[in-house]
Amino acid sequence: MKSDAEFESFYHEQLHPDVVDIEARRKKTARVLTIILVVAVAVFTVHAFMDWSGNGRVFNKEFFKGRMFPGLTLGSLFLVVWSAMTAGIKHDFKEKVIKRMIPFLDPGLRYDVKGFIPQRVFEESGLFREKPETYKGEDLVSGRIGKTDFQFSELDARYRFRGSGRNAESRLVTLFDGPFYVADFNKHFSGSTYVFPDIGEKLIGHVADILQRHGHGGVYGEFVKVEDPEFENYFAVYSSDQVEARYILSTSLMSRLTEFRKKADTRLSIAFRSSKVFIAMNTTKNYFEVPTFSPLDFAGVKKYFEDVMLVVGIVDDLNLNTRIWTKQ
Amino acid sequence: MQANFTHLAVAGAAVLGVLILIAIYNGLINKKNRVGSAFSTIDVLLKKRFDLIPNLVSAVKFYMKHEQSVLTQITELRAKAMSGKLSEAETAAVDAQMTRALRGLMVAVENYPELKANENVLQLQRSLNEVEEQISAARRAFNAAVLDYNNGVEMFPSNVVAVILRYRQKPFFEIVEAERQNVSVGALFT
Repeated sequence: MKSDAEFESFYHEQLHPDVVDIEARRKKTARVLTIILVVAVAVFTVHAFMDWSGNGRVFNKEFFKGRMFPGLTLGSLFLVVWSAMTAGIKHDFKEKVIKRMIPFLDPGLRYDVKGFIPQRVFEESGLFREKPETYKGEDLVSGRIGKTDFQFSELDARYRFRGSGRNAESRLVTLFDGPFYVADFNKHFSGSTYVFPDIGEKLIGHVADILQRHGHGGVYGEFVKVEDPEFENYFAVYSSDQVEARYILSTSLMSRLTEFRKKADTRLSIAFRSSKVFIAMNTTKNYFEVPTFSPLDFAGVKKYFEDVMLVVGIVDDLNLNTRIWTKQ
Repeated sequence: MQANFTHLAVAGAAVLGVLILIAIYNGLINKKNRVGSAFSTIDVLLKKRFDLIPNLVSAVKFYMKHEQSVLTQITELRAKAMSGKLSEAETAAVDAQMTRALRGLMVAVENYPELKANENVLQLQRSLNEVEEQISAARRAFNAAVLDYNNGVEMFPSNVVAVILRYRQKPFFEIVEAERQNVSVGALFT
């Protein structure tokens, strides 16, 4: 891991010129987009106004149709323009800033903008029981820290939802959309153990336990009552084997997972399966995107760096490099 | 008419009562059996540990001249465990003694560079470490099952059924402190 001081000097030596350049372009683009937005809204309002003074009538089906359609078209056009104008900036930020930041953090790491965790690995986790119909992703960070291989990327998986009955609707529903992490685990085990966010936080203890027993269970295995109360506050454990679940979730790992959960400050769904650990993060935050309307400076870039450190640090946070059992 | 309704209500209540009783009864049996099943898992893992011991002892005894007493203790404990049927309490006691003795031995290995470099010994240490953690997990699972069972025996209304069945609380398995061990064994591999 790198200290604040090391990052600061790296930033000034390597990243600053590109960041300044990108920021300048961002500012210009933001200005242009704001102008376009203002003009578009003005045009639209005028258009609507003209409709009004036409007839005496205020509420008119035709009037609405006349208003909605151009409104929506203008709106979508604006989004398209926005996306096109910022594409260059986003691409450059990833290629020039993120791509250099990651090997700086650790030379064993690689960054692939268009890469993402393969679908079979996503499915291997067993966290999501529907098979995705569409599957894509981006921002793959991968490598080896010590003895542990890991991969991290954004994923967007959707499945086909088929309604029941005669008017069976069929649409694509989001299965998972967010950051996904997978790493080699430091123990051998044969079954599957799942750690889900504890839904019983709002309910009163004992009742929550009973509900959880019959909750996720079944598909994910038996409910496992563990001893760490802070861990139990955040998580509920289900497993194919009571003993194996506790073998994986040692007292040490449970407290580490609790600390990580607090650090990440987002809901986590974790799976231990095929000798790997999978973490799905329930956050809408997009890891490497540059917001169009806020300034990009050292503090901003540092936040990206901290995000990456959080993810790469999972190996140390969960002590995955301690290989004192039969898995090496 | 009125009498019939009362009869129906009483009959309904009685049926409900019986159903609840059956549920409680089955629940207690289930909890008791889970304790038994958890115990046999511990037994299986203890045996796995015992199987490692002859190899371990023969691998280290040539070098570890000063630890003969520990080695003897370990061998004797193993013989005692494998000899006949120990009660649950005796199994737990032997397990605790064995865990401490093995841990002491592993710490002592630290002082013998020839052993630390020995591939066979390293492999045995890893296997031993793994089975120790598995035993630890099995103890925890057993204690969770015992907690659940004890709750059933003590809490209302299942305690009523428990008294009828003469179910009593069961003792927990002693947990020998885990954390310090991980630190000292980890050092062995650096």
